Amino acid sequence: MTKTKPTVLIVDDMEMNRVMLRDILTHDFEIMEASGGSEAIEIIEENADKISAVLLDAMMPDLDGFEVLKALSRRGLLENIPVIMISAENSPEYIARGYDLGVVDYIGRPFDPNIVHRRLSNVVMLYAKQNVLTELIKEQISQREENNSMLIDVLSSVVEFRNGESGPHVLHIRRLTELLLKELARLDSKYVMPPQDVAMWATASAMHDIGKIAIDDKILNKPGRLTDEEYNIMKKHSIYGYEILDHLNWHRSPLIEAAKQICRWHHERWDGKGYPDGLKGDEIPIPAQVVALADVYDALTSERVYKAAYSHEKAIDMITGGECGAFNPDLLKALTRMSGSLKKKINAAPEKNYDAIAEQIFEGLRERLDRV
Amino acid sequence: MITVAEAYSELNENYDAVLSRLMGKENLVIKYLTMFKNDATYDALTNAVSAGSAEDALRAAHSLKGMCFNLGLISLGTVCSDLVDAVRGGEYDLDQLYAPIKSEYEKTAEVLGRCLD
Repeated sequence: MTKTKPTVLIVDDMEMNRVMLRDILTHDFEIMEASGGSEAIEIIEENADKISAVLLDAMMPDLDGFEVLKALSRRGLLENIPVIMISAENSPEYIARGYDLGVVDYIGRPFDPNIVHRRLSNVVMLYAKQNVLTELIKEQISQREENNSMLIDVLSSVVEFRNGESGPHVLHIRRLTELLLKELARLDSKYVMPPQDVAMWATASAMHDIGKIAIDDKILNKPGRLTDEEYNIMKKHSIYGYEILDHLNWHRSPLIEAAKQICRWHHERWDGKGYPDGLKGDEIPIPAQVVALADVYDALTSERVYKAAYSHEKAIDMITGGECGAFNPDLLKALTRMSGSLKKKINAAPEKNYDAIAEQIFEGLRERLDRV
Repeated sequence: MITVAEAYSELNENYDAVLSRLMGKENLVIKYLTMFKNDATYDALTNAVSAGSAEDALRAAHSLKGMCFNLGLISLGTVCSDLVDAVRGGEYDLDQLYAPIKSEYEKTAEVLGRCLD
């Protein structure tokens, strides 16, 4: 941890009180002062990253300590900045109100300077540890995610290379899967999933065509139209992909389980006319439906040996017009809603969800602690 | 000139308690007492009482109380506390509550005046 002194904001309308606290703390803390509630809020907003703790007087003429707490809470500033309330008011109701509004500690007057110092130091240390921990988790997650992505990129490129359809296809599928899942969640709360699941499905989507590795070169790269027999072999890539993953001893890995679903069912259609299992409607897992749509969209808008690239608008028209098979109406609604920004977003780097994921982990941790 | 210890004893207050709380540093006690003596909160209280504003009086008495307790001026702090409690309670006579504060404050200020220059 850094050796610089942590910063403490002292909020009190009485100068003498501020000077007393400053004298106690100045040796070990960097001190900032506010002589009223509104000034305190301003200073905290401007210096949220710098302030390690706030010592807050309860009673002040302009805006009292409780109002300051409410304002900080509304702005989400109480989560990372601990507030200790100091007051000559020692009635239990008053103290309870402070705790209810989110103070971490309450110190009555007259206070013992040593104890103020100790309590403040403890609180600052505790919060500093939690912040370091959060950063550490974020780093670990991003490292792991990057390693995952890298390996999956290698794998997908091998398949694409053999397939002769190199280009940003896999990247697009991933991005489209992420965007569509998020748009679905905005459309209806039943589609909401935790951010780490969105990331997982997007990663899994990159593997949708790995089964093509088992398809004969002559069929895979045939310049002309496939015969019925050849097409039936080609269709087996969905089952092959599923089987390749199924034979790995990673059955409990959620990512592999996700990829298995996607490999097997990314050619199913809403009306049951897809392959290999002819699943219908809700029988097809949502992520597999999403990847199916993404795959069609990207195939339409990309150039292939046998066709030119369609424009974004034309592709959307063809999909919503049912020319590429039936899709879940909700999914089509999501696609139409995000259609305007799709062209721009599809080539942008994937969003980093690490903050959201770390926050999720801490949320779980807090819930577990609450149950103890 | 009297010493700070003598001033506290004349006011029937416990100087040792204050000194130990302030890490045994007499210069700090003198610094805070000087600030207390020059502080305008008592004047604000006096004005609030003569204007009949209970809310302002309560706030000033509350601030004064906090300062007094930190400085070990318990008698003055207690009469301030009485005003705060009475006004919060809703039944009170501001002038009647102010009188003991005035006499305690004047006594305290007089003694401190002889100890601080």
